[in-house]
Formats: sequence, C-alpha cells, structure tokens
Amino acid sequence: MAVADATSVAVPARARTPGRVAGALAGLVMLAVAVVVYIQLGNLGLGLAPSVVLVIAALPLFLLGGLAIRRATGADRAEHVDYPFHLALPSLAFYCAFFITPLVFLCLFAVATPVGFGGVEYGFDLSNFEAGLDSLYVETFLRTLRTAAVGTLLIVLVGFPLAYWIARYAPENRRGLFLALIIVPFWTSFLIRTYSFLIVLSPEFFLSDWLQSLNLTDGPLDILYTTSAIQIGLVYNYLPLFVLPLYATLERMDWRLIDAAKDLGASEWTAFRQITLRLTAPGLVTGTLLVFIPMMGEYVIPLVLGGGRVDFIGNTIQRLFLEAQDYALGSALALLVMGALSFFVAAYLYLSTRTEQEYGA
Amino acid sequence: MPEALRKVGAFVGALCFVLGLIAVVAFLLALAGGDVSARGAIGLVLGVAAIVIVPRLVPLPSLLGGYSALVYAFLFFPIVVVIIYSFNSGNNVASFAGFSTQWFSRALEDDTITSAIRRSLQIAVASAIVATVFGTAAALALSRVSRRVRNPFDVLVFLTLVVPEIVLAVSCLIFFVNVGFDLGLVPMFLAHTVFNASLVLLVVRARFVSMGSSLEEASRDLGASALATFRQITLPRLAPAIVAGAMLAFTFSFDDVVISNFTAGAGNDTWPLRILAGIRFGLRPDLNAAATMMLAVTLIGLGGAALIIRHMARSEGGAGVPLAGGRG
Repeated sequence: MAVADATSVAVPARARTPGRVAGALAGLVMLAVAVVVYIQLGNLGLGLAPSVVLVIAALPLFLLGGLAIRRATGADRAEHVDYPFHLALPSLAFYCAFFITPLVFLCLFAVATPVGFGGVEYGFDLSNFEAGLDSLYVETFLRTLRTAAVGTLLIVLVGFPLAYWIARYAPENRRGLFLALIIVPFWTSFLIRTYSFLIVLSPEFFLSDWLQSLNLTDGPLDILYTTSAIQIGLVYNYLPLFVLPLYATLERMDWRLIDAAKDLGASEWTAFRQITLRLTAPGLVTGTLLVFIPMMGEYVIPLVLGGGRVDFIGNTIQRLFLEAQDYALGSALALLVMGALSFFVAAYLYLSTRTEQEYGA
Repeated sequence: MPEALRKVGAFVGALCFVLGLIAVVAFLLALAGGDVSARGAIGLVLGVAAIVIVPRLVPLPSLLGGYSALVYAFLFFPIVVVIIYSFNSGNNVASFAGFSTQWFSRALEDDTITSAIRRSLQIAVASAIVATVFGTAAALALSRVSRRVRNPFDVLVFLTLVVPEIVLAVSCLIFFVNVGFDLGLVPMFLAHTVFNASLVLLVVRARFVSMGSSLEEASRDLGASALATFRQITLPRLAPAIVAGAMLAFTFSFDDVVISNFTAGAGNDTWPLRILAGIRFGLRPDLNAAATMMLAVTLIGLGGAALIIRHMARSEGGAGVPLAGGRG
C-alpha cells in the first residue's frame, strides 16, 4: 500500500519532458506489477512467512526501481546535503518493522479464511469483505459517518467565531494567553476529558437539577449513553484541534481588506463572505479534516459516553478482535473503513480545491 | 466600573443569543420529528426575540468576546468539575457531599492503581526518549536532502499519522501475536514509538527548516567538524523543538488508550486502561482522584516544558515552538 502511494505521488512531479513521461509510464507499469504480485500472493498458496518476506523484500525493490528510473531520465540533480542520509535509517527500519509489516499482516488476514476460534488459514478469500458489507456493519458505519459529520459541522459553528475573535478583536498582548487557554484543555488527558462528561451529564449532577427546576426538561437529564452524549463528547474533545489551525490562518489575514470593502459599500456580512471566508478556506479545510478523520475512527468516546449501547465502527472492530476473536472479518472491516475514509477525504479535498479555484482564491 | 459592566453585559448578551439559537434549533428539530410542545413554542418566540434583539444592543466585537468567554467556560467546566469532585467526601461521584482527600489516599493505597501508574511512566519515558532520538535524527537527515528521497519518506510519516488509530492498533495486535511477541509492555512501547517518532520528526523538522543553514555553513567554513557543528550550533538552536517533540511524545504515550488496549494483553493495564476498566464497572470517587493525579502529571510536565522552551527561545532570540499539533 505504501508502494502504491509513494509511486502515485511521485508520478505527477516528473511529467514534463519526454524522459519524464517515459519515467511516469514506467512507474505506472511498476505499480501495476506491484498490484498483480500482491493480489497473487494468496493464490500462490505459500505459507505466511514466505509471503511476508516476499512483500517486505518487494517494498525496497520498487522504491529502488523508481529511483533508478528517475536517475536515468535525469529528473533529479544532487543537492547540498548537510546531514548524511543514514541518520534516517533507524526510523526507516523501525517504520518498516512496526508499521508497514503490521499493515501487511492486516491485509493478509483480511483475505484469509477464518478457522475455528481466532485462527485463520492463509489464502485469498474475499468472503470477509462480503461479510464486512453486511447491513449491520454498514448501518454502524453510516451512524459513525453521520455523527462525525454533524460533530464537524458543530465544531465549525462553535470554533469559527472563537478563532475569529482571538485573531481580530482580542487585545494583542493577551493573544498568547487566549491561545494557551485553548491548548491547555487540548493537552489534558483525552480520556479524562471524555470521562468528565459522565459526571457533568449525570442525572445526579446539579446541572440536571437546574434544568429541571427551570422547567427545561421533563425529568432528570437523560442523555448519558445516547448518541447525543457522544456528540457532545466529540465536539468538546476535538474543538481545540479545529481552532488552532484556523487561528493560524486567520492571524495572517490583512483586516484592512475588510475596511476597504466596507468603504467601497459592502456590508459587514458581504465583506466576511467574499473576503474572510475565501482567504481562510485553506485553514478551514485543514481544520475540518483534522477533526473529521480521527472522529471517524473514534473508539474511546463511544465506549465511555455510549456505555456500550451506541457503537461506532471502531467499537465494532474492537469487539470482533477482542471479544469474537474473528481476526479475518475484523481486518477486512478495518480495511473497508480505511478505504471509505480515503474516498471521503479525497472527494472533500477535490471539491474544496475546485470551489477555491472557481472563486480564484 | 463601566468597563467591567460592559463585559458582563456582552457575556450575558452572548449567552442569550446562544440559548436563543439553541431554542430555535430545538424547536425545528422537534417540528421535524412531529413533536411540538407549548414549551417549545415559547422557546421559539423567546429565541427569535434574543437573536433579533441582542445584536442590536451589543456591538459585534463585544458580542464575539462574550461568546468566546462562553466557549472558554465550556472548555474548562468539565475539567474543573473532575478536579473539584475528586475532593468529594461522599461515595456518590456526581453529588458533592463535603471536602475530603480520602480518595487520594485510597487511590494511592490501591495496588492496581499504583502499578498501573508505574507502567505508564515506564512506557511513556522510554517511548519519548527513543522516539526523540529516531525522530530528530530522521528530521536532520531528511530536511535538506533531495525530493526523491524525501517524498517517499514523507508519505510514510504522513501515513503513520493519518491512519486511524484503531487500524494501527489492530494491525499491531495481529502482528505481535503472530510473530510470537508476548503482548505486554514491550509491544505497547514499540507501537507507541511509531506514532511518536513521526510527531517528533514533524516538530523538529519544522524548526530546522525555518532555521536556515547559514550558521552551520559558517561553522564548517571556519573549520569545525561536523560533530562539533552539530553540538555547538545545531543542537542548542533545535533544543526547544526537541523538548516540545519529546513532551508531545510523552503525553501521547502516557495518555493513549486505543493502541494500549489492543497490545497490553492481560494484567498489564496502564493508568488510562485502569481508569477505563474502572469506568466499565461503574464510577467510583477514587477514579476521580486517579484522574486528577493524572491531570496534574500532564499539566506539570507541560508547564515545565513550556517554561524551558520559553527560556531557551528567549536566550537564543529565536521564535518559540508552539506546543500545538498532533492528537490529544
């Protein structure tokens, strides 16, 4: 998978001269070969160990092949190197051993056949993916998607005015303090921030009594262990992660543009929509992605605030692994989630950059 | 004090505005669900009134200021509640009976909690140290090399950060079980370090690239060896970023639930896992005390790091590295 990404990212960079076109074509051919090899691995009927060795051995080979092509087509020239490259080798080896190899195992298990309780037989079997597309899992996935999307929207609504105020109206000498006040909750333990809502939303907490005595709720507060509680937890936990990158963009805004627009007769709202919003679009895109992606994989918040009654897709995967011990189905589901997530992110990035280009921002 | 009064007015105005908004949205949601009550209708009228009237009474900057104060209150309220309620003398977690520190001593006497604290500290310190060494070395090596080397590596680093944590966790579980590692502290440490090395790499590289290479080149031209240049020029200037990266790594590891949950195996609960297990069996006040102590550890560590970074940045004259980025 890493090979596929590395090659596809590298391809557009060298598509200028005929040599580069040739290099790009060669890269695509290698990518196709890689895909074929990986797909056929299961059909070869090898044991686990030889397959894994083959996959791992293939990774550097494809990288080296790409480098050789680039050198042959003259797409590169040497740059001044301050620190030797071998300083990066320990981390590279570490990533290969404990990041890429585990992911390879995940892929192998996703196409393996489950045998008995917790065991698998290696092979090439797509039935796990079929089982993973069962309506039960799709429903959980859609619930996760809906909750994460609403959560992202709420975070934008809550966080944008805050970032805007700090960047534009907060006293300049106190801006650092206001930022620190956002970073501190962000840095306190994620688990404890989640867990705190078990107290705050509890029907025995004074908030519940207040709401009841103000006649705003019929009985004691009853939203713990529901989707609403998870929603609140999501917004609370991820708010700082949205505000910080957005502030970084808003801080670079030149507010004289707004004054100029208003001098020229634009209303406050028009000026905001046509200038501020467009200039801060990159920060807005980064911020929403930064909160949306981890929300989709969220596991702790539904576990704590959903109390096992409302599951996200992450909780389903956890159950498959730690309770049902169905490693094959769990792996397939994890890969499906990753695939769907990549699709959404790609679509979002495509749409947002296209809108940006249309506006000429 | 008209200034203070104006601030209170802005705060109240923002509160009314937000409540009005919530009332209107609640009414619309109830309408969509076909469940309209008299209370909802009153809320709608009051809400619309607040939304119309407040912006006319309070100028926009003050209204935004009041609103921000409201958001800050939202951000800190739950944390403060946990801290206050850990001094609760009663047995019920959610209602405050009186002041007491008994739950702290009970938590510290509980062997499952103290051993969990020890394990968490071991893993977090080890992971932070290894990740800082790996990440810094890689950042130095990669920051000024040609693109063809850097891009694949960047993709790899990016992947370690964007792949959902649950996917990392399950793939590590499969891997460690099948390679024959016994689940426990070592797999936890290894899995944490993958993510941490990427965090450190990003923080250190951002600083290193913005530093420019002129001082290093001058040092080399004047005859200093590569090692001497690194020790006397690069390292002191990079120190704030390295400290920030190490702190990020420590906090991530100390706080992590997902990866630990899958790689810990039986009987190796870290502190967060111990708290999680406690939550599953129902809230108890000693959990609050444990949580407050955990907060204190992270905050003291962060405060210390922030001071060190500030001190270094000031003595060196460069811009400090904000303690931001990565996942909480």
